[in-house]
Amino acid sequence: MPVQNNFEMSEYNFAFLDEGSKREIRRTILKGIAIPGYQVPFASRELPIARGWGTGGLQLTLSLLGRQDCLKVIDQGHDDSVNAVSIRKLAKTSSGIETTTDTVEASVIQTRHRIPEEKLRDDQILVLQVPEPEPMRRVEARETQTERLHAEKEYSSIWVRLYEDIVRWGEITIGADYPCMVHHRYIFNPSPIPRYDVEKLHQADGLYLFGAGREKKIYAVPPYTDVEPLQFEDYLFEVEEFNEESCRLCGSTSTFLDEIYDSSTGDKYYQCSDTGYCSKQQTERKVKANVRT
Amino acid sequence: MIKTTNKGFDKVHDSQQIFRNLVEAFSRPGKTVNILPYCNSINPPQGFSAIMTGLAFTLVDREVTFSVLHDHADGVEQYIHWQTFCNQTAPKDADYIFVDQYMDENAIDKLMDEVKIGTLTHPHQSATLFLKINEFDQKESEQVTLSGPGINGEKSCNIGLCEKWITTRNELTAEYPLGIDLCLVNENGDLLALPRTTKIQGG
Repeated sequence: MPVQNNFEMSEYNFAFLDEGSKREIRRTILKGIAIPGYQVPFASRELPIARGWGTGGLQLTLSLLGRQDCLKVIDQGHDDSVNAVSIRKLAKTSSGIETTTDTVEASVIQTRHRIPEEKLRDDQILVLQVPEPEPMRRVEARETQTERLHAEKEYSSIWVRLYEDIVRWGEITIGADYPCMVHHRYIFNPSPIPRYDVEKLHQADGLYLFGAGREKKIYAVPPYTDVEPLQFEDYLFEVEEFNEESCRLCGSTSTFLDEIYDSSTGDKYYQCSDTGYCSKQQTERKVKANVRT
Repeated sequence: MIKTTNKGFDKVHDSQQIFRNLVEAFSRPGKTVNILPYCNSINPPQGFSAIMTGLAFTLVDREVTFSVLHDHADGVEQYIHWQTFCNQTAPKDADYIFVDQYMDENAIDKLMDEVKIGTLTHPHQSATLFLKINEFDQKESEQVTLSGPGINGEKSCNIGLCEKWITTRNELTAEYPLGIDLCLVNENGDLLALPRTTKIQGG
């Protein structure tokens, strides 16, 4: 077997990416903030993980990070899923910065498909990984055409899609990645976050950045910006309901819950999708229980 | 002779700090941030602003173009080109324009007539203007009211710009998403951004 050399992180630049790549991503981020919801094209560099596995978010994170930052990475709310752990490890080994699982401590949070339960502060930046940035891609395959449709604010195809959903199923069936209008101009995909999280984008305190590595697009929702999920007068936007189920671990009834199915017994369980928040709640509950006894 | 104790501009960490301050300024128009500590080590020629040079080092390279409006623009442009490999161009083609000189109303008109404002399909292909001003809080500049993304409701503040700059800037940004992004700096390193989404009233 060939001898594999040790991986020397010191041979790499701070936060892995070279300064030229960072500069290009940084310029794109500033343009994205200046034009909320507009998908700014960027080069999307090669990374040690494959495109489609969070490279857009990772490039944003690596370009943002400085020595004073504290990073949290979650995947569907979990701090300990394989993807989140790998991304966090890469950022940590290549920059030597602090990492955390506590939303409150983090200054930059990279996430896949969830927005943390704890409200984003004005000194925090949330980086979202985006698989498909183009809200019209399902109805129009050509990039040149969707570019033109955005330029002309010609969004009837999306409205027809929502209308067809209602005709066929009696409701809008889009679950995650619900299309929204930002700053009354661009319709954008908020990445596959549940509808439960969409309202957190509207007039928020913190900055949201979206990175699509495979599709080579970056866009942003600045703080205090109007984000309106698409809806009809008689068919309003609805968020997920949990019928008063509670988390089996922390007992919370006010969080987004995952449904877990035990195939051997046929039982269904519910537990918080945001593991960082859930473990905090469990600790608090234990403390309270101890005080009582 | 070059002083060996002066380590100079740290291209990794100083530019990261300047960039994060730019992110903060762009996402909260009207908020003043300070980048002086990261530009202190820069010694640009011809009396050009060190703050402007720090911003150039953070943002420009071979992939974009820049233009400098300064009394000794040639020397400054050559310096920035040597340091960053970024190509200098006329203001009408420039992605980044650094203005460090007094401009009368005619000169402002001429510049603002020709800067890039992007196209409807590619609104990001527009100019970012960095403007050196004396003080944000000047007596002759009246208070303006800012609103738009990044501002919680409305914000009243002094931006130290004369009326001509504000009216020409408002004309350029009238047809959103077209427009320019404006960034004001003073010699103390204070920086304030007015992206195209910001509505400026009064002044």
